[in-house]
Amino acid sequence: MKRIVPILPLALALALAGGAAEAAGVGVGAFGGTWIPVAQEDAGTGVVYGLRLAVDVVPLLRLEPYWAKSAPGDVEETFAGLPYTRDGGEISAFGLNAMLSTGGPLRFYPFVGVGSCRLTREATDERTEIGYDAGLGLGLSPLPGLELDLRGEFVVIPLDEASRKSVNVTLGVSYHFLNLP
Amino acid sequence: MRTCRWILPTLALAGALAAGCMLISGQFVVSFDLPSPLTVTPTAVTCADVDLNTVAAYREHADDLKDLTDIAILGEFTNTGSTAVDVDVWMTPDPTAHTDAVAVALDETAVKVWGPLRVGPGATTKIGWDESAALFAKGRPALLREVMGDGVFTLYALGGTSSYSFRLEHGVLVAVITAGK
Repeated sequence: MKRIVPILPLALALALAGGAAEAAGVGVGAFGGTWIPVAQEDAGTGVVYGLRLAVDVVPLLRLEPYWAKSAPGDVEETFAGLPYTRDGGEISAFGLNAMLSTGGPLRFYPFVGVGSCRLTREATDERTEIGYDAGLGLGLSPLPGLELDLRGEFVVIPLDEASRKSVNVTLGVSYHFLNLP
Repeated sequence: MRTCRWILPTLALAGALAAGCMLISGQFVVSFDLPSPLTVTPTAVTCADVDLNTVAAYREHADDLKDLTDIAILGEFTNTGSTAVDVDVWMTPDPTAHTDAVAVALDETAVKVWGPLRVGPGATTKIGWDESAALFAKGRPALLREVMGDGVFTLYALGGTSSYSFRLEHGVLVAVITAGK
């Protein structure tokens, strides 16, 4: 948690310094989709959802503070002939994504991000770690101010010498209510 | 624009460096069947010799182990006595062959790693995966050393009093190991 605090103002300051006189805008959105474990036999496919704020402070650059909650699926296994279920746990995260932001009704954009992730699971000690994500998005603007997004992202949460990894595929909708020249 | 050009690659690079070799890691389920049935009284205990090297998933990752993520003892416990029993599981780091509860208690290397699980007189309890994982709270460090070490140790199921009788059927030791290069 402490490590992420300086990153947010630094990123905002850099962006503001580069484009104070450029186009700016703010939007708010929600998203949801599928959480898919990568090399995690103790978690099943689950869901992810959250909220995000789109801040266009420089042409071609969008900063996106977000909050997300992932609910990995429970694991069901049979051992010695008897069925068992292990809780998949939860991951709560907040952080910041940065992405290329082009205009037009259809846009294709890469993005990267960093966030604070709190991992909880029944009968397991809670952990809070820094996670990283990178992915690609496809944006569609059917109406002025309205955006629909389809995203695929790879998420890595380092844990000591190893990590938890997942792929998120999400659909999102956002409304941009403030556009400044 | 200049800021825009650099911030995305910089963030991506920072993420990749932070993740590092942690990208090549995963969580793997290792299960080891215990003798079944395992019948226990204070004067007649049956040891369960565990050699995780006989399990393919453990053998494949033995050289790259990073952590013991989760551990549980599963199965059906039946109290064949006339009073309630609190079942504990003890571990000796090296293979041993104690035949009664006193000998286990007198073994200076023996550590209580799991329990207690209360089973009423005449009752059969199939323990859940989540419930069992929670009963390992204090014994996890000792088992972590063995799992990260040679993977060879001995388990004993004992009751918490001087008079008891129970059996464990379909017993399995289930561990989730984290491995990475």
